[in-house]
Amino acid sequence: MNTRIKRYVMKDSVLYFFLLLAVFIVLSIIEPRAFLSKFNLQSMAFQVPEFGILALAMMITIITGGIDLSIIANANLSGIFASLVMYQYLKVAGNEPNSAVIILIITSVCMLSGLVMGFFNGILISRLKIPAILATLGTMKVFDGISTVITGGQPLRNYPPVVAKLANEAFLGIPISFFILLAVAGGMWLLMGRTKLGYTIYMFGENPLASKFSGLDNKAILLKTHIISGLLAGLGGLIMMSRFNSIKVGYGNSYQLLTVLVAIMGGVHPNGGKGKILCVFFSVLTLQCIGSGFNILGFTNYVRNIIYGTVLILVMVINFLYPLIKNKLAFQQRRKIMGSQVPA
Amino acid sequence: MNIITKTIKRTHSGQEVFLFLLIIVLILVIATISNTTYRLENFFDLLKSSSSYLVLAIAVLLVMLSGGIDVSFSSIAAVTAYVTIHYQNTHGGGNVWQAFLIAGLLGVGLGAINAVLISFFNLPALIVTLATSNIFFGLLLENVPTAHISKVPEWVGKFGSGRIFELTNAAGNTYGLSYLAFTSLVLLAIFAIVLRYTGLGRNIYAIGSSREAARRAGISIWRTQFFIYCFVGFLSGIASILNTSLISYVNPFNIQAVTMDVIAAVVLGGAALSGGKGSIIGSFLGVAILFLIKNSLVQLGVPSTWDSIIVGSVLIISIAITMIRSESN
Repeated sequence: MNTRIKRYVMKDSVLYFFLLLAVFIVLSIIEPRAFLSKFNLQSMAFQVPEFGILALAMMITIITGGIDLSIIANANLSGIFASLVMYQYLKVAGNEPNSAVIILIITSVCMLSGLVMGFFNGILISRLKIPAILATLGTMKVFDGISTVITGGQPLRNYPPVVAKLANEAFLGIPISFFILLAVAGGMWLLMGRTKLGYTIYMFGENPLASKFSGLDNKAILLKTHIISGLLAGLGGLIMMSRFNSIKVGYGNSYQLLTVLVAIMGGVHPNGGKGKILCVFFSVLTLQCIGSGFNILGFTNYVRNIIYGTVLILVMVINFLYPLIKNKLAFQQRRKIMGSQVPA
Repeated sequence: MNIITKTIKRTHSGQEVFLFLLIIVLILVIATISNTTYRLENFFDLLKSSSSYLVLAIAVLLVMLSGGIDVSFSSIAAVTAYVTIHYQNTHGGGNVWQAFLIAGLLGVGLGAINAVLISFFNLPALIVTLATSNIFFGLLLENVPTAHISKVPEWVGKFGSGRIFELTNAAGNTYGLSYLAFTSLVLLAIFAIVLRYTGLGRNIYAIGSSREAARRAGISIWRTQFFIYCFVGFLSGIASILNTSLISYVNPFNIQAVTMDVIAAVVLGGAALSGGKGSIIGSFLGVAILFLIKNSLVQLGVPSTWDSIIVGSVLIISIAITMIRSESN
């Protein structure tokens, strides 16, 4: 094969795209009528945006070698703040609320509060040097607690109809929220691959000490990473409140495991430094296909969690074994070429 | 801000002394605000209600000392409690020793799965245990006939309310050291000795302080890790029986929800996530502070919805203080 084509095919993101294609084809063969129906394809496209955005939020914190356990709590609290501000606006506007203003309010409040919470995480982790897992564990509790105190554990409802449109209406057959996901993923791809900040985040994740002695501002990198993560979590909250047409503490708790799973599946290394946006994006779509497949096959949520957990462990075991096997193969090949000169 | 940091840095005393002083301050503050008096019986009550937390805290401490983390212990406890009580209900009651045996062995079995993945395949502990926690809990809920068991064997009531010795207070009410508190205190004492005076205990500290140094000193890393994660399972099993005896009721969700609280208490007790730092006494005091705060919230009439905020804030503040202190040393 032409080496240039070969190199292109062996590129990680292309491999992940083929994986997505393979899963899609297998499911289409197993359940052609149910899986390929317009209803299923569209409901998949409706479900994937919030998960995808939260996964990207989780991913960049893992690239720095940390983790953000608070993204779900952040998303919920952002949605709650947005709802409260919107209620105030509805009171002021009386009978004729302006749809555009409502969308503007909930979007900006969600993003702003997500950003503030991310900033808070970032301060704890970069300035006070609290390990990411403990800091975000604590903030998860605090954010969840604030949500509980505000709402008393009850869901917030009674939104004007325009709110639900964001995540439940399609444009050209594709959900509006899916466009948001595409925009976010594209933005993240540019940020991580084409900007100085993205490059320094990878460098920091690979080796914090080396990046410090290279004259990079480690604290600023960590802070910015967590601000971005918080911003994305807030956006996830926006889509969540729109899709359920309500918001409540504990919505989307199952995403906690899933976002870690999809990041690891997408080739992000838990120790930091490695991971491509495109790979994770394709993994998100793959996982959504698998999830919908499970749904069609009639698995309960618990079975799904069991399978996801098992897949996560299997992926990590394979990642552990793969280099060992590869090295062994390379060794055997070299022996073949060099004949008996290389001792066994 | 700067002055506060400097004052914290100046207190070079150990974390245990610091926590002990904190407890005294807390008691004084709560007693003045809520106008209640603290007696010896409050202390025994606190010990009894925190017994299962104390045992789980030992487990978390062992993992943290070795530089790892385990978030699946509460799922293991949920599984062992349910399976043990369900088995005894369908096999004629049994007794407390049988319960400890079944729960302990089952816990070791589940812990061994973590142990193999973490020590043999060398996978990151947090992600492995996050996954296994979902697997264990999912398997339990997928296969149980009812979500909780309210009919428990006879020994549960006796063991849960029994006391080692009894005292009588001025009002004529009896109080004393319960079996539950006694069990956890014995375990605490055993592990304090194991960690301080045995080779195994020193190995755990060693691999937590510097894995490479420990390896070069000839300590088998994977064997020590294997032991730790199996033992976490064992202790989770024991704790699940204590918890069941305390509330005479099995509710997997109830047990599973304690994960973060226990980790918070152990970190509060001075254990470092990076490993090698922490003590049994510290963890004991950490759990005590957590329970003191939770109890006093009830006494002060704070609604239970505030629990989460306060536990989270205490966690963040205490770790921040620990970090600032360790920076100065």
